[in-house]
Amino acid sequence: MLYILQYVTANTSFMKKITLLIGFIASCFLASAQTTVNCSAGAVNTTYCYSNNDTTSFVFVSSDGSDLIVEFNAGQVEDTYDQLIVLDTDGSQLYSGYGNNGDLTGLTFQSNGDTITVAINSDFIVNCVTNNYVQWDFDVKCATCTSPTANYTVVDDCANSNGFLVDVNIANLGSATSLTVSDNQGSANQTTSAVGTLQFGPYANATAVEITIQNDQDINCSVNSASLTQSNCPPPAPVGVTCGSGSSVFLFTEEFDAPSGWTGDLNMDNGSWEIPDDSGSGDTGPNAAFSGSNYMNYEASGGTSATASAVSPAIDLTSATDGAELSFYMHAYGDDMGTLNVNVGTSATGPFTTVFTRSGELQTSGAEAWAPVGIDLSAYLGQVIYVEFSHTGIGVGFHGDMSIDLVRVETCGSFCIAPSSISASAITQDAVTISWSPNNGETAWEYVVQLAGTGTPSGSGTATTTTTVNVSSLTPGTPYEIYVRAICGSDTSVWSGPVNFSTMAPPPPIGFTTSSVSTTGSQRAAVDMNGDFLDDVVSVSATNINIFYQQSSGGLSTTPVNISTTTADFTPSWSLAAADYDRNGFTDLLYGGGNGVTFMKANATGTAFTEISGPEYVFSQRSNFIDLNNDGNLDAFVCHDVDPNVYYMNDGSGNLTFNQGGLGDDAGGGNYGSIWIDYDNDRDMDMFIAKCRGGATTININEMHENDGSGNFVEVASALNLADPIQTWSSAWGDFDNDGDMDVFVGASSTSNGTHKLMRNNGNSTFTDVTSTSGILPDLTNIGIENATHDFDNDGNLDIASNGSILFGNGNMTFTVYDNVIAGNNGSFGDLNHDGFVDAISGTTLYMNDTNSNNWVTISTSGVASNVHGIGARIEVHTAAGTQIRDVRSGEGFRFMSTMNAHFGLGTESAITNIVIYWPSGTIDNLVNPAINTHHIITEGQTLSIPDETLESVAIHPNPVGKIMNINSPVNLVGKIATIFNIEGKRVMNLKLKEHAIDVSRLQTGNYILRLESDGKIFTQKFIKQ
Amino acid sequence: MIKKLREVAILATFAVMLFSCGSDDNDPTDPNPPMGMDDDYIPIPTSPVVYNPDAFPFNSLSEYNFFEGDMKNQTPVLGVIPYEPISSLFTDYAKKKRFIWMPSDVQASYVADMELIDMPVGTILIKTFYYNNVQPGNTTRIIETRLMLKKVDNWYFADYIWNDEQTEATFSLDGSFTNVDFMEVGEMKSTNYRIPSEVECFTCHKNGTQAIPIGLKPQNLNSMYDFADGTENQLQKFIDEGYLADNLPTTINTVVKWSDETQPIDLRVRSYIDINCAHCHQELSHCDYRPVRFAFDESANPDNLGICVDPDEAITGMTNIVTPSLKERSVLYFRINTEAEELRMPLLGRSIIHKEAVRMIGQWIDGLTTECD
Repeated sequence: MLYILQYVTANTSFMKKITLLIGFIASCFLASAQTTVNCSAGAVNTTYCYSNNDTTSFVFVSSDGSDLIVEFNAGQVEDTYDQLIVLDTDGSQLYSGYGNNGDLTGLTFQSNGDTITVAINSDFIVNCVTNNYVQWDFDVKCATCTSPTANYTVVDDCANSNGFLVDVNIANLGSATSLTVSDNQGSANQTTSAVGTLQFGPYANATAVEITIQNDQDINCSVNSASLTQSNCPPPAPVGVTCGSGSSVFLFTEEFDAPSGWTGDLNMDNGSWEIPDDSGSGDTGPNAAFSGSNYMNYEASGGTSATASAVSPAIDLTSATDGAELSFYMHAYGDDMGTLNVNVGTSATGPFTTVFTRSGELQTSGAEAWAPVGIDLSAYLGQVIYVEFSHTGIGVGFHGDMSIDLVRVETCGSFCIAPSSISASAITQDAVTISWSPNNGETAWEYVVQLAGTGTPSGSGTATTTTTVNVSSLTPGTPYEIYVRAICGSDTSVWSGPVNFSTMAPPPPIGFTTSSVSTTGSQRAAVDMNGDFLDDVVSVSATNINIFYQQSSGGLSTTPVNISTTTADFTPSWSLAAADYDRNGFTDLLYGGGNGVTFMKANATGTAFTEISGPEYVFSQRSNFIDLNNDGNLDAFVCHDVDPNVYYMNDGSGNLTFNQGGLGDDAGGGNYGSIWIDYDNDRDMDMFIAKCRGGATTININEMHENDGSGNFVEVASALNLADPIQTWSSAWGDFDNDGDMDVFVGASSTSNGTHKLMRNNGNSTFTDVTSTSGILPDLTNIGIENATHDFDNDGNLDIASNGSILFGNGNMTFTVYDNVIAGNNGSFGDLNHDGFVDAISGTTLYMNDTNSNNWVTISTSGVASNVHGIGARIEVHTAAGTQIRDVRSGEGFRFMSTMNAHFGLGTESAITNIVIYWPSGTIDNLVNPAINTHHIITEGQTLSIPDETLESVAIHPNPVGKIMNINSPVNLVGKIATIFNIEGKRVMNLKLKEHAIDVSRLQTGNYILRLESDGKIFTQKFIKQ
Repeated sequence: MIKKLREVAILATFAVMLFSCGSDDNDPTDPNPPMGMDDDYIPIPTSPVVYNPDAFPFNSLSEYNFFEGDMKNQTPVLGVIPYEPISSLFTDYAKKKRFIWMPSDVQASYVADMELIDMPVGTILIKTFYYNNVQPGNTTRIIETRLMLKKVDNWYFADYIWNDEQTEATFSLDGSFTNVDFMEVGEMKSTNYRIPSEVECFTCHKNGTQAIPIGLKPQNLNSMYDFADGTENQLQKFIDEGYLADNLPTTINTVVKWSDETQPIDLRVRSYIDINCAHCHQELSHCDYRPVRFAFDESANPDNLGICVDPDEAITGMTNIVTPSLKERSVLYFRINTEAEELRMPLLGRSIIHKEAVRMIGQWIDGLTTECD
């Protein structure tokens, strides 16, 4: 099995993470033969075109123990999705990335040892083979020498030869004492033993020239140029300005990285200039900017014939002397190229005089060099001018992205020129390094770093005499802008800027480390399947159940157990729920399919499953196991998308009976996310349904079905202030403020009928919308179908996982949002390595909690009189810091099944006062002073009950009781839970007292026990119903 | 034929009047005394369809008397008019025959090019789903015939499941599956064909809380059709037949046949997604809370098509609903190109992939040059 470990850095939208490969190299050695690189024979060339889900690796070993060098001559990967990975001799990672936006050309790596590995890690879609990518072409050679370095320049020679020359400027001989330089056109070789420029050519236009520089002493140090050409004779290049005295200066420089002051048809989509931008279209535009990282281009998409104008800011030549020249770089690649006019005027709105025109294609590939253009502006000395770039599309096709970069005006004189090339680097959460380039020997500047969008400074900035400044004390995760101006004595330049950057957002309180688990089928659950209370990973296909069992020694099994099943009539495409509903010690599964429901019942050894599929049409959504009639047998509930909800009653012998009606009866359905909670703390399970429906005004209203303690349900959402029309597929319930009752986050799946909502439980059967003060909005921008509650950082405050984001709770109904911490569909939650921290699994990706030093406790409830898992039990954990509560459940979020263990973070609390469990049967267990950082498995009734001494003198009258039982008490009983058991100990009634009397008219004649309970302490009294 | 029916009807009424006058008054001055009536009498051709809305739905399809001769031949009786939308819904490659019938004294009226024609109470829409080249015998198998009846308050559904002998179809709206193995253009295909239940019918056929038909819009019918008595524009045929008031505009914004490669690809795509997707992706429909709007009159707007639009529900590896020039990262393409029940679109009515449409939509996306911001 392949393990790819990734460290999640979170909180940026780019979630491809740094990939560390542990175990990867070992499998590479097994998977692919290694190639020996003969150090006396020169480079080994490899070409490769990768496919989907490709993890092919190439391993190279040098013949004499030398280090190895990998050089990419060409090659492509899909940016942000398919990674090139290079591993060093010891298996550590030299590189993991996408080259230059997917272009691998020019990447070079050297090993520290005799072995180097080159590998691809592609995702499930888009690949070299299908998408006609440039295939990989790389050389591996021994690092026995140092290669020479050289720059190559295409020199226009149209005036002489109607073609071009290539200048080879050798900057460094490397370890050679002499070099032989040759081309691929049969020109005479040239040799040199010194740095300097050698010229090749002339060549006819469009000749593809490749230069090879060979170290004469060592075959391993030969270098090749990329293909060099000039397709067409270019326009006249700049000739420069010669000054009468002093040297010329660039009065105006525009890199189009942080342009300011340009006006006209800018950034209006097709038929306008895009600045700063790149072409973005195929088969037109340059591969990269001439300088800086951006350029200006005409967007020709849509076959536009529009004329777009881009007018420069004012260029002040009033004090210029001795000539002026406008220069820029032009890239006109694309067979639908239109006409560029460069015009000059003395007003930003014209009129303009055309000083340059060029129509049609100039370069014939994106890789071909930019062409420099020079235009004499001597006629404008002494004036303020504006330069207009005006381009007109040909009206056909989109291959016409005329591109312009590095526009400059050179002249003579003394100027105070704003700096250019402002950049931000070394960006941290609260600091940045900014730098810039002077343009005319300026030595003093002022800079301003302010919140983005503030605009050109009106006052002065911070003075400095260096061109690099560190700025600190910034706010994390905040966009800023930089302005800089030059100070020349009493004169100042205009402000240059803005250049924008954002400080790093702080990392989430807990990160997750990803690795691969080779699940097959649809991964659906993290739940205990074999009764050891350790969460296992379950994936399902129509004929198979794939289980990675968690080992008692920790961690998932390395290989899964696959259990074949009959072909399920319905697969868990919409949801899966799990529980041992036949109580044989092995967990059974419920498949919520689009046309019906299938149960897979585990046999007595958990080694096979029996399919039970009903004929009823059910468009399943969320499903749950729950003991609806509190008979100790788990029933199943399934939301119906387009009809009233359905449920399956369990007769205790493992037989399920289909029912429809009574638990959400909208004829149109709209039932998406059911979740069972005790919202009113009356010790029975209520059900909230997150609802969704287009074109409706009622079907989409969320519902709360309140359990009256006798198995009757009443829809009460409106009275609770929960009858919301939000289009939602799931909600996350938890006591987010640790005040003893369950609050709810209703997660929007669409914002068409309102967005996310956080509702605080007031403890009196009303909820209050506290979204606006919660910190959730506007930070949480993603929407979706999966919402669930866990304490991921074990700080004792419940967090919300919402479609891959985690809203870390502060324990007071406020949250801090971190995006893309886990998979976008949340996945299944459980503790998959038994370390007391909640992990997640989604598909084949395991998100293992990075953990911290916080304490925790995990509780598994093993029912005796109650249902086997204690589903519906309320658990209270009391510490010095207060009380936390959980409800044990099967089925939360939308699609997945998560652990049935109740997990509590304790923060720095080092002791638990007690744990109280209120079982559905009415049993109360009270564990005093249990150990922390422990997984407690609590069997129903294992502890002694604690009597409530304050109730010692409580008396029932009359006894025997008729319709109404009156309770005499010295203390107020309102709010205490009254439970009535029959003589067999079975709970027959349950309610929260509103007065000192109980209507027992529904009870049959016989002997009963009344129990009053609060805070886990009880008082019991026998009575007779007559 | 419709025209004829209307003319004949008028003539017949006149004859009845004459007869009444003559028999009641016996006016001696009448220049055309009623003798010889039997010879001149032209019987009013009436549609033999059994119309009893109170008894709807009948237990068996034959009780309606929609067809003459062997029912499996689907030869319509007088007044049952075949029609076909220009682009049609994909239902696992099932072939379809569609018919419309109306009572004799009512007619539909034009509302707008993209709106359902306003059909009168009593209208019955009949749609038979069948496969040719069903294996192993390479035979034709009719699966079901779905009906919609317009009553005063709403449209009502019925579905008739054909027996193995193909002699009768029996009412059921419970929903069921049936396996069909068939040859489709030289390729063996297999589907676990879904016969819908009533709530499934309604999921697609609705506007708010009202049930509605889908295809009967002028934009879908403004095309020639080979009727038994000749080729004619379908809307004109309805008018001729007396089924549609003659007040149509001179031009109708009309969809194209999605499979017609001579048409511009964007129109083909918009026509396909109109009939396949718009019943859930327009206002007051099942999924109108999603950002796309796929009806033909709305899909000229690139935002409505999902071009450069973030999906509400993230799918691993996908970027926009339609990612220009990159079908592989487009949710729309992904959803029509999968058989996984929880991901595939349309939500209902498809279980296998419509390869030809997937190819077209992929080609369309790959040809888009829009740059997303």
